[in-house]
Amino acid sequence: MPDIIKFLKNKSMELYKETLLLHKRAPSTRIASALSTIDLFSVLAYGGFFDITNKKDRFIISKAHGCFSLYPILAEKGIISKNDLEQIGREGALLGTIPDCNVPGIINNGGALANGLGIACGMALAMKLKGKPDNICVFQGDGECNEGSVWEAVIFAAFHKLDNLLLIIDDNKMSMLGRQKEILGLDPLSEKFRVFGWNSYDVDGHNVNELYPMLEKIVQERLNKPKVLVASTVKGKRISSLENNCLCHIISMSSEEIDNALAEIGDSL
Amino acid sequence: MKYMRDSFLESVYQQMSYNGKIFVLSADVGAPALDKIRKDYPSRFINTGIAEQNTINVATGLAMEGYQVYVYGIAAFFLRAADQIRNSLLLYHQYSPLNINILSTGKGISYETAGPTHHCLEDLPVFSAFPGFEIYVPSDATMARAMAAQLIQNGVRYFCCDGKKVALIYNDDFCFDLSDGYITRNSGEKSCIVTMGGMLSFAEEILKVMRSKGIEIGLIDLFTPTEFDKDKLLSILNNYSKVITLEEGYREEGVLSVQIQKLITGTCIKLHKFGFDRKYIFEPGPREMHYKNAGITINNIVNVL
Repeated sequence: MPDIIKFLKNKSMELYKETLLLHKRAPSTRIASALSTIDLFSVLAYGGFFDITNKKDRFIISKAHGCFSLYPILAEKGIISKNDLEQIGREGALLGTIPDCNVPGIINNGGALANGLGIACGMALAMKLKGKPDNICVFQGDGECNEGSVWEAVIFAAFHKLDNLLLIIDDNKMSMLGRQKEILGLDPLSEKFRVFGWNSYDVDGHNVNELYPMLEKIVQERLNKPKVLVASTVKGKRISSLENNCLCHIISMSSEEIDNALAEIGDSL
Repeated sequence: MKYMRDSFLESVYQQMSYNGKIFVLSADVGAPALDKIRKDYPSRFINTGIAEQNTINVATGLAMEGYQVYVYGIAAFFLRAADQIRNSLLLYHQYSPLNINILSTGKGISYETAGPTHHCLEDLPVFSAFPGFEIYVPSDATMARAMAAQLIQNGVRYFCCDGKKVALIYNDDFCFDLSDGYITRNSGEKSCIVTMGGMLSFAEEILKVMRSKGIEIGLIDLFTPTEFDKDKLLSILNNYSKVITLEEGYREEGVLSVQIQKLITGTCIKLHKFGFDRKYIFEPGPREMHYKNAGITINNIVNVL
């Protein structure tokens, strides 16, 4: 196994652990939604080809409720403090259960869903006008694709050939009350984007061996089309009581459950 | 008579020649001045299509990267983007100031025969509830131009323009001081009208009628109906025993009636409100007909005065 893959897999496991600890401190965090993001965030944050902290590139979180798993990354990179992680959700703390732009390293407010892509379109236009090569990446949930504002932005990005824009869809196939295929149905999602004039890619969102080369390639890709990576993920990944549970979005894990999960992860580290 | 939006956009066009940070978006709504911008600055103008939500999001992204953004569209349809105005734009603006100027046309019942989908009596009450959203209601094209020329610093603003050509009230050389949020058009004895927007020319007619009867009334153009200097305006209104609010909004829920009611609470001033009943209007017809149906007539107002 190449060193980088091994390194990224370790980072993933650490991030699972840190995210569970955050959930233990703040039980109202949406843990199932966050667990589908972990491997994607690890590769993006530590792969060395993208600046997730918004100093150079732009990282827009559109499914913000599931993105509190970014907090440990920001802490490790020294943008927020370890003590901030300890205080999550408490009175007077910096970190709420849904990341907002008041947190250093977070630049938008994605709690309302389905606005990240449009904002990113404006940024991508600005970067092109300035002749800057920076990459714009949006992290979005599949459920958000129910919203019309997403498709307004999809049309816009293709028409204006925003090839510095990458949309990552955390396709965990569930929204708050059940499976997407039983609510509105989005399949075939990547094909829909292709028809709208995007370059579409599919990947297993938990397979670091696939994710790393794929993301490294398409972040830099410039082919006159915006890019979408439909990452197939599992909501509640690694937690048996959450995986495949239609109501996992609104479930908080018990302390005992978290401790057991942490012990399992500890064994694998 | 001139369109407010044309004067406003003419000023933006002039500024674009020396300010490379200006970017203009239109949600598929046109104006002659916009054609000049489209032609001479094609890299800084985009027709974002019939997509108000995305238009506001794109504007936010551009402004976050340092652009001074103007967004042009129809008043009634900016309500469709209320979520984006609040969550994408204003929340961010509270932490890192942006420069975004939303220019709406079609205030009130400007589109008199188009029916209730195109009327807009709710934008000002809704948007005035959003923290950080500055609301400006120019009363003629001269004021609209002055607003575009003067309000260039960071801010998130909503300029609410009439959809029809409006009589010029202010001369070209009028020196606008926008800082107080209102202009005293006339001082009177017992009664004072507070109005804004295209309604100002209607109020000027009432002023003439009263003057012909030998009575001077006060007239205030409250062009910033939420962020005006409240102490100063109250000290002026305290000189009157009666205040009339006159607006193309709902009689009780309109932004003027709510703000003035709040301002004079606890004083002895009697308040009379002229505006529209809280219902949608389907009947087509000229503006005068709609005013008459709502009881907004010179006679009715003169009788109250």
